[in-house]
Formats: sequence, structure tokens, C-alpha cells
Amino acid sequence: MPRALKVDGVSKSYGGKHAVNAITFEVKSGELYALLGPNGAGKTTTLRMIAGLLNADAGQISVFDVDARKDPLAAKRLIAWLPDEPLLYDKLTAWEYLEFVAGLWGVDTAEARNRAEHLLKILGLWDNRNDRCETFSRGMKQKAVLAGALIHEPKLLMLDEPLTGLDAAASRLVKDMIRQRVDQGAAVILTTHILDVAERMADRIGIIKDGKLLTEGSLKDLQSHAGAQGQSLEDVFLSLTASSPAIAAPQAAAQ
Amino acid sequence: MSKVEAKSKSLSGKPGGIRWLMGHELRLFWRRGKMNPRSGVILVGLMLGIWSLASFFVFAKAGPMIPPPPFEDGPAHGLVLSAINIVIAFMGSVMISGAILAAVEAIYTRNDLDLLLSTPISAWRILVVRSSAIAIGGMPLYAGLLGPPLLWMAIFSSPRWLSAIIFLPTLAFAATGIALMIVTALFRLIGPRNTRVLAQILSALAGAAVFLSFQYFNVSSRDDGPMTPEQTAALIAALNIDPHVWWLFPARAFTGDIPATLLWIATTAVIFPLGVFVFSRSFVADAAAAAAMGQKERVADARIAAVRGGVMSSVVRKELRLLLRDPLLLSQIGLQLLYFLPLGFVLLRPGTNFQLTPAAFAPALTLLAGALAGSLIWITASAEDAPDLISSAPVRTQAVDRAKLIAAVAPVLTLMALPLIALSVRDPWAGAWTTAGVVINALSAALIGIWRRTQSSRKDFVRRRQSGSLITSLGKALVGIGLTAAAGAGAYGLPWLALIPVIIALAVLGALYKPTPQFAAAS
Repeated sequence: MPRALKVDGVSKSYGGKHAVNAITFEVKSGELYALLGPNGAGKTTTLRMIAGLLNADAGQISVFDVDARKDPLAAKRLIAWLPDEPLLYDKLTAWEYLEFVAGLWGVDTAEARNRAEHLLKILGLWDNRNDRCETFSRGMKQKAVLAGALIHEPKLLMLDEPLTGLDAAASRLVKDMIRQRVDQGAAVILTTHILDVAERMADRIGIIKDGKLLTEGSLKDLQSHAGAQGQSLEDVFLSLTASSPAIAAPQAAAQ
Repeated sequence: MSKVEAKSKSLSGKPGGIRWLMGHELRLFWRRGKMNPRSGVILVGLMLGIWSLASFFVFAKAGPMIPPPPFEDGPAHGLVLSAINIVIAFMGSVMISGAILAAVEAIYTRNDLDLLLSTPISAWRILVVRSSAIAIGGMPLYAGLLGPPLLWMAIFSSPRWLSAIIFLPTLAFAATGIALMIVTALFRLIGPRNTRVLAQILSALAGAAVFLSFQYFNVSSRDDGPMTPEQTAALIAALNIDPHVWWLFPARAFTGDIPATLLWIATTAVIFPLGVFVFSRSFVADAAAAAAMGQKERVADARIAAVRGGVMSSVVRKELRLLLRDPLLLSQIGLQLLYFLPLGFVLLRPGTNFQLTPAAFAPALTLLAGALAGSLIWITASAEDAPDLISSAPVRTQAVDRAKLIAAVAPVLTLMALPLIALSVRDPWAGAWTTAGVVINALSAALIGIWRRTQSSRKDFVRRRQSGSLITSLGKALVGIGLTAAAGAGAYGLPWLALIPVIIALAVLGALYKPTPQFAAAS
């Protein structure tokens, strides 16, 4: 499988504090990579740098061999970024929103309409397509944003907490859609605090803390790195990231 | 698909192009607010119609007396052009004020800019469109205000007044360019944390500066009553302004002078792109720096480390902290103080028949105290961020309300303390009446705010008057005016006269009383 994303020694500081510190990882096409970490670990900053919303202080980012720092527009054509807070226009209808996002990525109008109809129907928003987004629930907004992220058929999909606010059925639907994209050859980077989801969905997992990538690999790789064979991802994650003895101790005892 | 196509109108232009993006911006602009678009159009049309009719009657009579452009002959025309320059400066300063806030919001909240900047469209194009939208967004108001008078002046004075219609959009673009440069410069000089505060203060000052200067000039430069022809001639001769002096070129462009118009358009054509260029070059870095503000590690503060109990102290402390940490609110409240300055100009006006006495401060300070307390109580009571949290807490609602009232009134009394002490030392009688007026009016305004609260959001502070009922607004005004009049009458040595407005104010205050619903079980 071709390499979809290469992040090589990327750093970002704010006022002398490292938000991301020389982070390096790769994601292949047809792979779902879960980037996990405690709050403030640097996950969102990393995704924002890949999406071209932040300039990295150092390092290289290439998306399907396009240097994202030298040619950001070419890289952005291949990427969709779904932030944790839905980027929606309250005053647009769901249909207008999708039409607008498709236009931003230069999707042919007729094709955009077909895709919008398809996505809205799959996500159960077809009947609400002419309603303004301000009338949507949190889950409906999240689904509309997901449709926006998929409408230009990105090769690299970055999802920051995509299941926030979704009910069980919608959550299942979104997970299936993500898996389907991966099976079709797209690369997906996912951040989530729901570790069960990462454990069941991810092909590989990266754990980041204080801006540094602590470890990455399959669940087995992580278990062996943490010396916690047979443990759940949650146990592995806590033993690797816990700074509080109160949290780390039960993990050690379990091992 | 047919239903979809029938209901939603696609943007025109090539997707991702300037025209297409601008169409998107304008669509959002027209859809802002909660009013039904059709009702909005009817309301705007109605207001425009009334304004057009009113201005027609004024200009049908005054138009023939207004000297027609061009203004090229001597100091009298120089004075006319100077007056037009002042009007332009006023409009420009208000436009800069709005554009500063819009640019700061773009950096700090970013909103949809995250989505737009993650697309394969150049950041330059996106920011040109966004900046143009900032400029265009301010135009309808000015077009509506100035359009009808200019039309009547074109009919009843000279068609050359119509050239002002070309002038307005260019002024909006120039003001936006200047605002973008101001915001970028602030970021470079004082950093993200202070820029937001200072930009909001600058915005308030920019909006008020010319208005206040004009008011100062208006009340301090001449005696009471209209100027006689001799006085006017003397003023023109004393000022001796050459209408061809270079700095009057905006006014000449406003009145249709072709070379001045070309010069003005050329100036605007440089200022706006320069502003966007400067802004866009540093936008990504500035937005990142602004986003990083929240990541600053909090240093343990001994003052807040200890948890101090008690409903009263907890609520008061929370309200004061939130107030002090919201620079936008502070600047808006500060603006109220600024707009009271013309009153100061009147009181301090030298060499007129009006005798400045300590008693003159009684109505002014009473009115100001009521206005400030009314604003603060709206923030603490109506704009409570977590009303459900407060309601679900095991405390009496009245106790919380008392704390909110103190949080609203205490800053006002602190602010007023110094002038009240100075006044009391100079004239104890006037000082006592003023102190009573200040305290009672501040408390009344706060009580009305508690009784008649309507749940809102802090960001609606500027539009807060629209959220309450008309009766409440009228009642508030009556109580404020009554207490102000009473304080004034008392301070001027007419205590019996003060009784009437006091009785009216108290009666209205009683009528506005509404018991607070009890959410939690009394403990």
C-alpha cells in the first residue's frame, strides 16, 4: 500500500513551550491510524499542522508524496479534516452547506449533488436537507460535518473525536462509514478518548504525551512495549501515560 | 432533486472563485439575526420609507439654501469642506471601529476560517474576500442613512451631491484596510493576550473620538443660541481655511471634484490591499498565537488557592472575576462613561451664562450610576452562563440574587466614591443629595434588572435592550429620570420639589416588582 502521510520530526512551540516535539509517524493508504493521548498532549495541534492550519516550526509533512509545507494547496486537495467542534454555518441548510464545501474543493456541481444526496440519505439527514443547521441537534450537526468531510472523497481523512454527541445507532453508522472508506483505500487518522473504539477499529495506534510520540504500532506492539500482554488498550494507555501514581498503581498491580 | 433545487439557490460564479466566495459571505450576512428574511425586508423598507419621507420634508425646504458644490471660493467654502471632512472622519472612525472588532474576531475565534483555510483555495483569496465582506457589511447602514438625504440634496441643491454615493464604499474599504493594519501592528507590538483587550478599547475610542470632539466643539466654541451672521463671518475670517488645501481632498471628492475623487480612489486602492496583505501575511501565525493563549500553564495563585465558602462571597467573587476577564464587556461599559463626557463639556463650559455649581453634578452622577448598574446587573443576572447550575444548587434564590445585586452595585459605588467625596467636601448639601441619588438609582436599576430579567447570553450585551419588554424599558427609564430629577432638585436646594419625582419613581418601581421564582428548597 502506498504511503499516505509522512510526518517527520515535526515540532511546534507556543511561547517556548513545546506543544509538539519532533513527532514522527507514517500512515499508509487503506490504514486506520488512531492517535491517542491525554488532554493537551498535542493531538489536535498535530492534525492542524497536517491540515495546513498551523505552520510547523520544524520537520516535514508529506501527503501522498506532496510536500505539505512547500505546496499546501496540493496537499489540501487530498485531505479532509473534521475537527472536534463541528464547523457548520448555522444559517445554511444542510444541502447548501454540502454544496458550499463541494465548491471549496472544486467538485463538479452535478457530481456534488449526487454525492450530497447519497451522503445525506446514508446519514439520515435527507429529510432535513432544507432545514438550517441551527435547528440541528449535536448529533445531526456532527453527521452533517462528516458528510462535508466526505463529499470531496478525500484520500486522507483526519477525524478529531468524530463520535462526540452521537447516539448508539449514529455512532455505529459513522464507524461503518469510516471503515468502508478505509477498505476503499483511504487513509484515516482518528483521535478519540473512547479507547474501546480505537482498540476495535484501528490498524495501528500512536500514543502521544506532552507533544512526544511515546510509542506506536498494533495493539500487540503496544502491549509488549508496555509489558502488559493480554491487557486492554485502556490499561496499556494508562500505564504509558499516567503521571499520577494513583492511576499507574492499579495498572502495575494488574500486570 | 427537484425539491432541493427549488428550495436552495446555488451560489453564482466559479466554485472557489472570488465571486463565488463573496456570494457565500453575503448569503451569511443577509441571514444573520433571528428575524424572518421577509419580515426583515419589510421592516427595513418601512424604516427607509419613513426616513426618506422625513428627510424629504427637511431637504425640500433646506435644499435650495444649501450651497451647491463645487466649493472653491474662499474661506466660507473652506469651512463647508471642513465640516464635510468632519462628517467623513466620523463615519470613517465608526467604520474602523467595527472593522477592528471584526478583524480581532477573525484572529481569535476563527469560526469558519478553519474550514476555509483547510481547503485548496489560497489563503490570500479567502482573506481578501473576508476583508471585503467586513467592508461591505458596514455599508448598508450608511447607505440607508445617507442615501435619502443625498438624493433630496441632488434634487433640491445640486446633482453633484450624488458623487458621495461613490465615495461611501471606498471609505468603507479604506477604513477596513486601516483597521487590519492596526490589528496586525498591535499583535506585533504587544502580543496576542493584550491585543484583544487593547483592540476593543481602541475600537470603542475610535467610535467615540470624533463624536466627542464634535460635541466638545459644539458646546464649547460658541455661546448659547444660534450664531448671528456677524459671528459666522467672524468665525470664517478667523479660521481662514483655503478650500484648495490638500487635506480637504476627501471632502472635495465627496462633493464631486473629479481630480480629488481620482486621488481618493487611488489612495483607497492602495490602503485596502495593503491592509489585507499585511493582515494575511501574519494571519496564520497570529491565529496560532491566539489559540496558544489558552495553553499557558496556570501558575497556582495563592489568592485563589483557598476555597472560600459562603453563597454571598462565592457569587460576588465569581461575578467580579467574570466581569474583569471580559474585555469586550468592560470596553462596552467604558463606552457608556465616554458618552457621558459631553455632559461634562456642558458643565465645564467656560464663559457662559450657565454657572457651574457642585449641585450640577447631582443629576449627572445619579443618571450615570443608574446606567452603569443597569448594565452590570444585566450581565450578572440576565446573562448568567449557568442558570441551571445556580438553580440546582441547594441555596435560596434570594441569596444568590442579593449577591448578584452587590456584584453589580459595588463597582458602581467604588467608581463614584471619589467624585462623591470631593463633592461632599466642597458642598455637603449637594454631596448628600448626590450620594443619595447615586446609591438609590444604582440599587433601583439593579433591582429592576433582577425582577425583570430575561435569560440571555453575554455576547448579546450590546443588543440587551431588545431582549426586554417595552414596558420594562419605559419603567426603567421613568425610575431613572425621576430619581435623577429628584437628586437635582434636592441638590439645588429645592427638597420639596424633589418629592414629586421621588413618589413617581417609587410608584413605578413598585409596579415593576415581580417576585423571583424559588428554584431550590429553602434551607
